[in-house]
Amino acid sequence: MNRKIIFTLLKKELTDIFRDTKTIIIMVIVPLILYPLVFLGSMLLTSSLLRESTVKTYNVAIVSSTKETTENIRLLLGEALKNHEYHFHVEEINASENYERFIRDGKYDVVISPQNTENEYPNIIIYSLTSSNKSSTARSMVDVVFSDYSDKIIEDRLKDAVDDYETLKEEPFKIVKEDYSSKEETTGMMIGYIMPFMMIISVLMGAFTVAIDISVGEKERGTLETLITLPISNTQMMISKFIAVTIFALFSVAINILSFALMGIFVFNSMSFAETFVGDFKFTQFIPSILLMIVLLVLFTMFVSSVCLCVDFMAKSVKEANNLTTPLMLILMTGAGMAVLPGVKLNIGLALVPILNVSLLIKELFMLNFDISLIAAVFASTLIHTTVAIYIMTRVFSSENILFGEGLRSVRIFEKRANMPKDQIPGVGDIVMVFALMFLISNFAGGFIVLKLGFVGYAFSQLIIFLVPVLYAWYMRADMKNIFSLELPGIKEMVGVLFFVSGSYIFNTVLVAVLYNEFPVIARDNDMLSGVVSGAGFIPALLVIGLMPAIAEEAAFRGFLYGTLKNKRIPILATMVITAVVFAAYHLNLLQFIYVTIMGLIMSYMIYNSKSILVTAFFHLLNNSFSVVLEYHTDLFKNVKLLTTRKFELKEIIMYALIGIALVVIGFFISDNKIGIFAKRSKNKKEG
Amino acid sequence: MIRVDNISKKFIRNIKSDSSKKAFGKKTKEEFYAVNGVSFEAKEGEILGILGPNGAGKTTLLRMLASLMTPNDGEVEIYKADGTLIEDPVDKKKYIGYLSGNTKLYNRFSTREMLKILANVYGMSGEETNKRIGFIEEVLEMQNFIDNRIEKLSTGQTQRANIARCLIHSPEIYIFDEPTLGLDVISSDAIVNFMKKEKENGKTVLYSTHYMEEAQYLCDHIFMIYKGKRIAYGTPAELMEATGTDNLRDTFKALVNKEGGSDE
Repeated sequence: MNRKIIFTLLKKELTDIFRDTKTIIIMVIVPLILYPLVFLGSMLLTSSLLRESTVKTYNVAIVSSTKETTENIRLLLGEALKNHEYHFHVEEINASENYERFIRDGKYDVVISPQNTENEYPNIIIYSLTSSNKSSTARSMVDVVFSDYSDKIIEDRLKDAVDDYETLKEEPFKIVKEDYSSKEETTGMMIGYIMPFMMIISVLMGAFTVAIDISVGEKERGTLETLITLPISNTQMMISKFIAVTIFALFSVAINILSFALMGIFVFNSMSFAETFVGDFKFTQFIPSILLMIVLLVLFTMFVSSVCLCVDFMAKSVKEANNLTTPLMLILMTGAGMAVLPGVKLNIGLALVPILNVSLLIKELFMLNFDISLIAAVFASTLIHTTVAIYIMTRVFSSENILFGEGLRSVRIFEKRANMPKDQIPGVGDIVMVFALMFLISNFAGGFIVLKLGFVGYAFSQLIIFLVPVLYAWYMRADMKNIFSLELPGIKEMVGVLFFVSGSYIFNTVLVAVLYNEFPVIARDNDMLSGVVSGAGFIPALLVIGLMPAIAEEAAFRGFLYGTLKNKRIPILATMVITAVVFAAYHLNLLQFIYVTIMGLIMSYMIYNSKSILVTAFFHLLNNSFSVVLEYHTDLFKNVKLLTTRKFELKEIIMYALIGIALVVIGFFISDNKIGIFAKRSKNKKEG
Repeated sequence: MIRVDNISKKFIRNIKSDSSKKAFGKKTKEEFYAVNGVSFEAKEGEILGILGPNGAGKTTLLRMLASLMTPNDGEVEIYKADGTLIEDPVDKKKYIGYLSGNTKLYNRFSTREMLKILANVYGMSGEETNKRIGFIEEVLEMQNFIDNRIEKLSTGQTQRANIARCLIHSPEIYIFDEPTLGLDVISSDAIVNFMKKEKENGKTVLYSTHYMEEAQYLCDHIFMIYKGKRIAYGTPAELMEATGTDNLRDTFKALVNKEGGSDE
């Protein structure tokens, strides 16, 4: 039933789109007729221009000097171009004339002025006008004539001076150039530079127009209200529209590919080297690339379609949708264009950046570089981006909100700040928004910057993690004190932190060591810290690795995320677990995931118990700083450092784990407000 | 049968605060109730007229009844002919035919194509659909234009196509928001007669209008709404008696003036 409805709606959407002549003209006629016309036109223009420049007479003026010199130059110019289609028209002028005027007026293209004619070979001054095409061509031809002549004189002199000139002239050694890249690779490189941009542009063009038509367009035409009188759910409506946009964008891609392929074949056939080139050119080598590209494009089109729809659903009219989508298109195109910059190469970091990763992977595929892990990373991250976009599309926008004009009330950022009620509590939509923003900015910008700047980039990404939730909360006039748990902690909670941090550090060190030895695969890239801090001084490292996350990550996770959820009707335990798991997932590392979850749970407990973000920030600061100290003063803590790579005896594992757990439990007893040993003296009793 | 239990709908509107001295006064938000705690019910074989001045909340109320909007408070309960309550909000729409000035049709389809698509969404079989379209075509006299694209139809034809849209799934409840607005006498008579006939078939009809004579002639009960609240409910005769007037037009004026006059 469900599928049948979506299918019916999809059929309706597609029929509707394909019956819209305007859209079809833009989508079909432009690529199939206009592109080739423009292309052929410019080709014809170029070749006719070339032809024009080949049959030409260049006007040369020689400034009068001795009769002999003038005759020699005439002879030289006439001789040199005997076998060419163009020739020099030579005239003689007086030294008193204004040469510049002549050249600027186009009467002569170059003026040759011989100097010191009393010498055997007079010096030559060539006057010309580089800004004029004809004059500069003439100048270079005249130049060649004279330098050839000069070479010949030198050669004659040498011949006279030495006997074995001919043997001396021979090349002392031969240079042979062997090119390893096959014809396929060379072609692939060329295609790889054009293809990504072309493909991405055609996806954007297809999705852009139709997404507007199908969303705000329907709203403006008044058919959306009719549509939602039908017994269909929000998701069914969204999904059918989304699939329609995707199909149409893919259709646009297909048309574009067809158009470019036809042009390619035409150009190829009209070129003289075509036959020799085709000889052993194996097109089959590109089949895997093309297949992978198609799958990737389908995924990418889904991503673009859902992003376009999200943006368009925010708009109240088609005009507004255009205004909103244009900057989006520019951003997306910049992403696509960056792939052709020299030196930008696909790596694990860039594989996470939306659009750029697709663009780069297409380039790599055509260069016949098949790196399985990179391909997998790009596919996986595109899949995640797409899922997030679809999730936002179906969850954030309900048909009622889209239709009756308060579409964005569930995402506060789209409201003017002055209009916000004071002391708001963010909603789940806000959380999705903040984390999507954080994810996108730190991936898009941060990914780049971390790669280029390393350590500074890490600081930058921390800054984003801090700024996004805090600014967002400020903008929506959130109850900052409540959301970010801005309370002064009690002494016992701060004392508790010391136990928690030492306990969890010991426990986690053992855990990491065990995992490291048992599962070397997942532990492979655990040495991230030393990678990030390489080259930085101890104090900067302490600030950036120790202090910054303690502020930024706390603001985002124990602040915005936990602070929002704790106000919702969700069991507090679930809130604590969600915060811990999201915090761990953010670390994007399987090994870290396990122990960060444990840390996250402890921190969730601490914020729940103390209601003060300073407590968890203190914990975070101590924990991270300790890692930095270990990294820099290995000598001081030799034994501790060794722990992580050492093979443990079972006895030791149990012993260390118990010590860790014991310390955590002590921390719990000290700080807990209900059973803690200082419970009676605590002023935080009023919670509830 | 449809039962409305204390439903409310809140909107936010911009208001200019006078305190600001800036040329463009700072806009602030104010919550207001478009519909505020409304309850009533309409049974099978009944026409309920929903009357009220412009901006009273009629359209919002009807949209909530048709499940296009969700109330902030309260419930709209739809009962099947056998008396069972429909729980699923999406399912409710199967029993409702909703028509308003805002429900436009897909221009690039013919009426027949559109009806087929709708029938498909309602889960009707092909045979059932063809039979139903044949029937509707005859009742609404659409033979001449049913296969033309909707963009080519006249206003009256478009309105008939729109009614055909509400009929395709044989709903139990019709919700019409000013269905005769802007139509000539013949077209609006056709619609009025259609409502009467469906009432005789045991269907429930809820409709809003500004034509008092039409309402007086057609409605079994009248529900009057003003500033989101109910100000009167009863048969046309009861209302006239209560206000001491002899036609519904005067009744309407009397009731609205009693509450403080029209907004407009």
